[in-house]
Amino acid sequence: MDFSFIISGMAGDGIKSTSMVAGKMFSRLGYYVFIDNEYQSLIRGGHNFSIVRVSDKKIWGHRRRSELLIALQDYTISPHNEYVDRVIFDSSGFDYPEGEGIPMTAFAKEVGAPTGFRNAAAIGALCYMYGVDIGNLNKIYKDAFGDKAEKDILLAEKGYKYASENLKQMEKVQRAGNPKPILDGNQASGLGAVKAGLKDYYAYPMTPASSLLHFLASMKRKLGVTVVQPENEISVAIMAIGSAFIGRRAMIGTSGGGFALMHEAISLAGMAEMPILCLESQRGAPSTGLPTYNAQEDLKFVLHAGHGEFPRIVASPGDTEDAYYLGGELLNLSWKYQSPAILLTDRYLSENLATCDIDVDRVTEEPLPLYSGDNSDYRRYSMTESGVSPLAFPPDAMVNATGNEHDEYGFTIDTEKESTEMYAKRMRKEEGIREDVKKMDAVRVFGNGTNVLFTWGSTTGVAVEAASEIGDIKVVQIRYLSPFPDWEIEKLEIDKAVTVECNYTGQLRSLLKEHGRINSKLIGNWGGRQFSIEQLAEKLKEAFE
Amino acid sequence: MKLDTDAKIVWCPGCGNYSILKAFKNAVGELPQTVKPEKMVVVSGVGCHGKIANYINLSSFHGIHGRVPSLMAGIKLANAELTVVGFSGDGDTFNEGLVHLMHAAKKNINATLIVHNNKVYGLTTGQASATSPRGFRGKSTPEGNPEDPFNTVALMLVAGATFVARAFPGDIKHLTEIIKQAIMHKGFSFIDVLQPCVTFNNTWDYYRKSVYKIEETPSTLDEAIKLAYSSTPTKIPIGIFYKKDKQTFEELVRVEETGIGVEKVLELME
Repeated sequence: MDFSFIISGMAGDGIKSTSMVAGKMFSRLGYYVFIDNEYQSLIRGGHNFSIVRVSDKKIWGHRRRSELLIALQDYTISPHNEYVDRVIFDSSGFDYPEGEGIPMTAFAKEVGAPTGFRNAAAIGALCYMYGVDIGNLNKIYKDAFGDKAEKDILLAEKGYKYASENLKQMEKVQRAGNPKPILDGNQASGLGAVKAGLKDYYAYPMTPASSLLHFLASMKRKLGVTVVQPENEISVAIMAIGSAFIGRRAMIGTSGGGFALMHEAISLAGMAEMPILCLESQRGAPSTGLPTYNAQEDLKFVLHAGHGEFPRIVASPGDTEDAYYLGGELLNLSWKYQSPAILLTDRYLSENLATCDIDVDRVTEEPLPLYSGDNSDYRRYSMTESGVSPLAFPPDAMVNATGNEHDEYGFTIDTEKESTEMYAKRMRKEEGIREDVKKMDAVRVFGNGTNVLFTWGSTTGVAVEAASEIGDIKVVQIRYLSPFPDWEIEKLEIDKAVTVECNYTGQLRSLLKEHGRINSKLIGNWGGRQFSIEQLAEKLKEAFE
Repeated sequence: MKLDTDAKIVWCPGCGNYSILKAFKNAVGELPQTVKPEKMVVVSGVGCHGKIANYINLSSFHGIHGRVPSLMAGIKLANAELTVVGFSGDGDTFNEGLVHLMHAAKKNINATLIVHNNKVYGLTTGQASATSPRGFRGKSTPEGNPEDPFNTVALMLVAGATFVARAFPGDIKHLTEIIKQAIMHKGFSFIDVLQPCVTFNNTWDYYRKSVYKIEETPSTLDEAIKLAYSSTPTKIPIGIFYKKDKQTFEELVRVEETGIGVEKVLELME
């Protein structure tokens, strides 16, 4: 079983929350659900839609083709018309002769609810059409809104009844398993970090990273995380360094523009050896660009974050579970090596919702390299072979940190010999990081063969599905981008190589050439959308021919 | 506790920074027992003043230009029990990092900021800053500074700082007393220190003639603002302009709960 439906309307119609309720109807029955939320940078009007895909197998992306469109605005039909089989619309708002109308607005009026509630009638109809017990839907409303769910429930029942009398049922859905959690990639990364001991989260609002700020703020007491929105991204990063100095695990989140402002602080974190984890969620095009759309354009930008040389840890998750694991792994690595780490994600994974099977305990809070000597003679930057200086925090010891070149105690120096040695001490940490990453999943491999498709970020999931439709393609997700896993690349047997990524220049392709001497064909896109599975499958066919 | 370090002090002879350092050390020595030096953290920015972190035998973070208030905020959020004192220059505070200063005051972070306001960029060898007087001839303003300076005290009053003071290092006893009170104040405390720069803006004699002590701290914000604006080039009030009790940012936002665990939160997301 694998089907999709679309809910479309304007901003303010509650498309996102409606698709979430619709998705839960199926995820609670044990199905895999994937919801692609597409929206514009405006508050009212425009064309927003969500593609809800349901399957009894693990799914990773959206399909171009849907069996059903639920349209709340007339002008949202034509962009989808070519790819949908049936159109259901609000017949009290407009007429669409080829579609099947439900008087949703009229129903809302009947129960004395504002127009915004009419979506519940649509979901009620959907519930009937897929043969789901209406009780399941009512429970979702009750869980979400408590006593205030009454009108939603009344409307859902009206929609359900109307559909049962007027509309043809689709394939009936039976229970397939236990309920699954449904979350977006940012939330998953946040939870992974919390499992690894996150205590402070700082962020300035910026799409598509903001869902993490909102999630952690709304759950802060349940998660035990202090959440602060400082005056700008510069302050965000510096405050996190303040937390790190005191020994509290901190994380920050932003998109490319905000990350640009953080570079000075990333460099300070490198120099002062302060662990901070930054989630950078990419969005389309330079500058303000396409603020609510997808891209993978910041890879090379992030790999060189901050002026000067220092160890940087960069990794990119391929799906929601992976976002959880990397949130934890990167926070731990960042602390073990007292270096900045960047979790590089993208709009498609950050904001889209997916059911997931997270192995919660795969992430633990790993112990720190703590100082155990005499506190009266603590050296924050003690010389060690590994470059890792044991940690102590104020007020347990007197700790002196600095962004200037320094001696072991953290006092400013500029002599050549000592500067050379301290610089090398910091850089030696790269060897340890590399050895640790070798023990982790630096890459993930899906499928077999010598036709190799390289991916990173959310494109991975779409690529895995598209490749499996064609067959005989091995998908390799480059998970760690710094250190770059050349040891894994060397092991691959490659006949034909293709790289797929959402940018123009082929940034991963270029890294593969630099680190693995691999020449690959590029499938790129830069219009702000992730490939649909069908679209990518067509391109793969051509590329591997 | 010994507050001196072995680091060689590299300020110009006669620099106002020596007096600020001395007044701070005196203040730490005179603080009540409840404020333990081991629980103090010093933060400094970049500029001549920034080296002060090397000259005080306390935990410290010698950070980067302009960001002292943010670093203080992060430290206080991480451990509200620490006593945090920031040192920052005028270019640091009122140029590069003005936004952080305003927001630290607005938030009412429980920390003290001592501004070494010498009204010139010293370490970069003599350019005009946001507090340089109009007409100031520096390396970047050879025909005279075209801008009027900020009224720093008024700026902090408007931003919502709950302790606003000005002092002159020529009167170390007075400066010491103000630093003590600022540290003891619960909330954001700001001290504008009129620091002479012997090399690029030597104001020792000028300030000696023009400063006078505020007799009584104004009881309302209006009066404090009036006093701040009463300052003229020949009559500069020093002392405490304003003091007010207000809940601190850390008290309001720090989450003390340990949470219910990721597993349970995931169940809520089904």
